[in-house]
Amino acid sequence: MKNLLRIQAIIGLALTLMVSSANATPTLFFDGDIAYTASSGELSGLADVIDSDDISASLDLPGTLDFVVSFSSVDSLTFPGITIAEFAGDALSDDLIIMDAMANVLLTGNFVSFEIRGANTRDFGIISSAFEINGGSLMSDFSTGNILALQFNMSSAFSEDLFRQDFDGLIDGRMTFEYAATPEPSVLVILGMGLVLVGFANSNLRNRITTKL
Amino acid sequence: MRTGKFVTKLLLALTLALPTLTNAAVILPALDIQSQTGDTGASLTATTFDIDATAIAIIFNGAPDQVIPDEIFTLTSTGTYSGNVGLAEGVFSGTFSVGSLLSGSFGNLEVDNLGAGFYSFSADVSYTGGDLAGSLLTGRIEGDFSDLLGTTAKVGQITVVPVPATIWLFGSGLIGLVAVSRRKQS
Repeated sequence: MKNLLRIQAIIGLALTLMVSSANATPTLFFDGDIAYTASSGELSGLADVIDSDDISASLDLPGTLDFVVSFSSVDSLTFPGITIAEFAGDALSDDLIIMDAMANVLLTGNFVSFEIRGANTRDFGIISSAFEINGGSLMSDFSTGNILALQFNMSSAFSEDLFRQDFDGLIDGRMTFEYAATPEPSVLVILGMGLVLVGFANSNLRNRITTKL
Repeated sequence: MRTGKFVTKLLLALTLALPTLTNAAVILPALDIQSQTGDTGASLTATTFDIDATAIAIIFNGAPDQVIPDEIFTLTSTGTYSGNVGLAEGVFSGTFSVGSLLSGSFGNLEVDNLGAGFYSFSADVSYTGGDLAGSLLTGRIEGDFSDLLGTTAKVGQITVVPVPATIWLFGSGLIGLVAVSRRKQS
């Protein structure tokens, strides 16, 4: 009985710790270069993955982030003075690959959305995207991810004509991930264990009474 | 003599103009600022713009980034923000600090509302202290934030590796040797 209580206490403490870190957001941080070729409409990025936050797996960094997307459309009317460009991934191959320092593939994925937006006349803007993970050693940990990056020091400033010319620049940002599976709520587990213990105590009490009688 | 004065004036004019020209972009090396778990990130109201984030690395030009021990990045400012989508919808002045590494002030931080919950911001900054300020007086901060995806920013033109005094001593010794040998020759 004492052992059971101890085990329950340990498991309860572990679950409480898990719950307290439930708000953590697994994140990878990257810095690198970006280049756009107007003739092909191809935007490519190559960056070093330099650091991580709240990722339990041991990562050998710096790694690399490599992605390619193709220009789809540009919108400069929805918000006057703001240029928004949409890009799409390639259906035939992975749109992004993340590798560690030893070139082991950590994650591969395909973009669900990829957008660049910036205020006209600025030489910096935002890259935002959502992607689905389809491979790599961390695939079992994560299912989807998002990118938020500052695109800066661009060779051409934002305008509705930006994507009619070649340009390059720097990117610096973050990839945040969603966990692949939601763990069973710890409250239910604790409640279940409590019920089992109550049942065990009852049967123990019955046994004692039966023995005395 | 006149040529000498002209060259001096030209150099002086270039020196004065240089900070303005270089502040058009983030000059590397730069500090990499990111919001992490536990950071508040960016918060924008009609009269304030604040950031609580973490400095995680130094970005170099063409060289590997240097990950540094996490330093608290704090930016506080006051001004006005219209709430509209567009260029420079917010203009703020205030100060920032990166632990003991860097501190500075700015009077012209502009926030662009890019729509759909995305924002970017930029300002020329004056360094007021910290190890990374070195002899530099000016720099630039650029960044962006999203209601959902976090905050990322760069503080550029920082002093990273101060030249060790031994190098100056060694260099001046070499110059001295050259001077002595020239005198002997003459």
